[in-house]
Amino acid sequence: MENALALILGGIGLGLMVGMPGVGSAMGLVISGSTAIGALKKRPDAFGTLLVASVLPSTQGIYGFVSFFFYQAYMKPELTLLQGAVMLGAGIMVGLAGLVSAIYQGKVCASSAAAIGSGHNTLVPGLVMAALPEFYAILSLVAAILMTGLMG
Amino acid sequence: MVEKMQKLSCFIYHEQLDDVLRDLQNVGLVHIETVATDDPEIKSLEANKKLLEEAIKILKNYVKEEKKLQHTETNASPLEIAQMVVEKNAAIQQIQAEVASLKRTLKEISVWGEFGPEDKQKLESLGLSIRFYMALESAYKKFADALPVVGINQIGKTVYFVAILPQGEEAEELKPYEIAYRPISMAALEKEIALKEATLSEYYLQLEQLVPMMTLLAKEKLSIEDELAYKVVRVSAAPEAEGAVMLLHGWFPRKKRAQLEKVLQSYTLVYVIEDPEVGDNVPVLLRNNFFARLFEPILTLHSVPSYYEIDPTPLVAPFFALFFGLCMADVGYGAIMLAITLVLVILTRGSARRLAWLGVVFSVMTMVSGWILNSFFGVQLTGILPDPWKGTVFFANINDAMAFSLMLGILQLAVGLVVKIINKIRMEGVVYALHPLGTLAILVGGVIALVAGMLPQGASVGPFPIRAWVDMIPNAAFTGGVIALVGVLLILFFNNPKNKLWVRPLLGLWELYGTVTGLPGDILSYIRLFALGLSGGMLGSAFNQIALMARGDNPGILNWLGMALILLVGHGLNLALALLGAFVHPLRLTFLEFFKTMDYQGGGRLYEPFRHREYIEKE
Repeated sequence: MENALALILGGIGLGLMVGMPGVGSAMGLVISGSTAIGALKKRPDAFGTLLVASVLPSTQGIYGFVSFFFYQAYMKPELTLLQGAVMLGAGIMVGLAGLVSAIYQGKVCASSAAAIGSGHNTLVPGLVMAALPEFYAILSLVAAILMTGLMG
Repeated sequence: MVEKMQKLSCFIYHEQLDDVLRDLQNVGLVHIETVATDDPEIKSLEANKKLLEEAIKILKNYVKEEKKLQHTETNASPLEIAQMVVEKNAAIQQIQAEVASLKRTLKEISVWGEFGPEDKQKLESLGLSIRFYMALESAYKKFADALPVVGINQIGKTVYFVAILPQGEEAEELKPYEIAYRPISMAALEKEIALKEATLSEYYLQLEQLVPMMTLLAKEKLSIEDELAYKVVRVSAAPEAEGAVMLLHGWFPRKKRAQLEKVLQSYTLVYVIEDPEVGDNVPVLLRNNFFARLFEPILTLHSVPSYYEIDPTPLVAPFFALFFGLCMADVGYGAIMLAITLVLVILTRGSARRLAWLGVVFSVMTMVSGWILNSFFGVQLTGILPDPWKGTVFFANINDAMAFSLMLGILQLAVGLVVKIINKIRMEGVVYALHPLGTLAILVGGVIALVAGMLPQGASVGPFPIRAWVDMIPNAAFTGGVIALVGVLLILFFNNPKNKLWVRPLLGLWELYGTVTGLPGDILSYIRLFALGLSGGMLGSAFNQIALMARGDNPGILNWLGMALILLVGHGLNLALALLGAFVHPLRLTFLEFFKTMDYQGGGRLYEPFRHREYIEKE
């Protein structure tokens, strides 16, 4: 019975770990991408710049996926309750940080894209500003990797 | 390095002004202080420059690789040609819009088939009127039984139909479905479109024939820019002594003084050369070695250093290159990048070539970092290297890799603090340098104490035996603590030497709080180097696994193809995303953590000597 609970926790953890940052990245990219399309109407020559300016929220999904790679091997019938709990914790941590940071990063990218559309050269400042919220998703990835030490 | 500059003030007899200025433009050494002006001649030159730029931009769209057009002879001046190009382009846009609108109308009336105004007239001459309607199929069926309507066309569930009634009569129930009649036939419309399209292709051809004129236009643009630079400087010369002499101010690199004086001495004029005074807004000329110069564009993304600061480019260069490499960290990706950037080095010229060289540096660092961090297209190098080589994969253990990125953070912050100390000594005096010295002492002392106190004997980070290094200091944990404590005292008592000594510790507490909470945060920020490198490698390895799954155990040709496709697309995507991250995150570390620590002010203006545009283009 205890083992079943461990497996459920582990499964939910893995699901959240990949799912939530994925959702966040998708939403962030939609936010930045739709603004980029608007900006493209004003400056059709700036497609390359706008693409670079709006693609940054895609990374959170990758961090979730990378964490998943660290934990997937533990998902076996003999998973212990401790391991299951760690996986759930890691999943919630990576999931939440990725979800929220990607959405809000998308807004930063969108502002930058809008400014580019109005003829300002904000590509690099926009990227640096957008890299600020991303750091917390990176931290959660690092913490998730460190937490594999608790998995035994 | 910021080149040393000197200030030139020059009194020129008004009749000689033009000759002196032409010579100064030829020698191209002096950054002349100009004034804002609304001189009509300058405005007209600016307008002409804009016209030429626009024409060149338009003509670039008509360049066709396969067509080698004959050089058309023309008597028109470059400006007339540019005017013609711009006007033709405007006409093309106008006609394109008209054609699009006509095509929309054609689509609208095509549902009625061939029915022109003359057909309508024929009906009217018989005493009948025709009206046009559009309704859903279900509604139409109701009318079809009760009224004299005829279905003409059906698209999906929409039926287009007409009602033919004696003139003056109207079916009330059909009114909501009526659509406007366009008095034009399809044939007429098609003819009009064809005519306009013929005009368009004629205009396209005319513009294509003007493409060889681009070099002429570009040359004219250069000469206008020369003239413009000359006029702006000419207007900026301030009349003195009732206009008998003109006064010019400018800046030039100190080591070019002899060359400049030779030009000036060939005239009878008075000039004064001085060293800049504090507060002067001196233009900045950066002079770095080949390697550091590659990174100047990255620095200017933030801003040019002010004249009195240390130019951080030589410090940014090695760190940025290494950080980029660590974020990419893959021997395979590095090799691909190296191949591409080397080709670009051969194909490009000027500033583009310098960027290509920067790419080469990044590629090499990516390969080196990939080697020490154990990744080749996502495959672990330790799995494929022969045994004697495995020792060179320094950070195969991910904990070591993480500690290494933090070590780099501590190193860069320490360098930043040293720069800040030197800047403070140079610009404000030794007393003002004691505050950053205190921060440096806390950083160094804290690290020594922590390594000695927390890490086991013999602990190392990859090839770096950090515990052994620290143990070389006698009684390391205690000494580190003392150094840090001295740092605390320095901050408490020298945070702002302008204040009275007894006020300083109170303000110093706030500074100390900022330092103690800020430093660990800044160091931790460098952990992204490790995480980005790792995530790129892991994603690459995931694509490898998926590709192996696609191949299966008993592969046929399709499986192999699928595997190749997954590898190509997967690694291509991973490479593109990793490139973006590997540029942006080191940029953030440089602009935020490093520049903040070294107190980089920036805000300088670039040295732009008064010279011929041709030289600038060549550079």
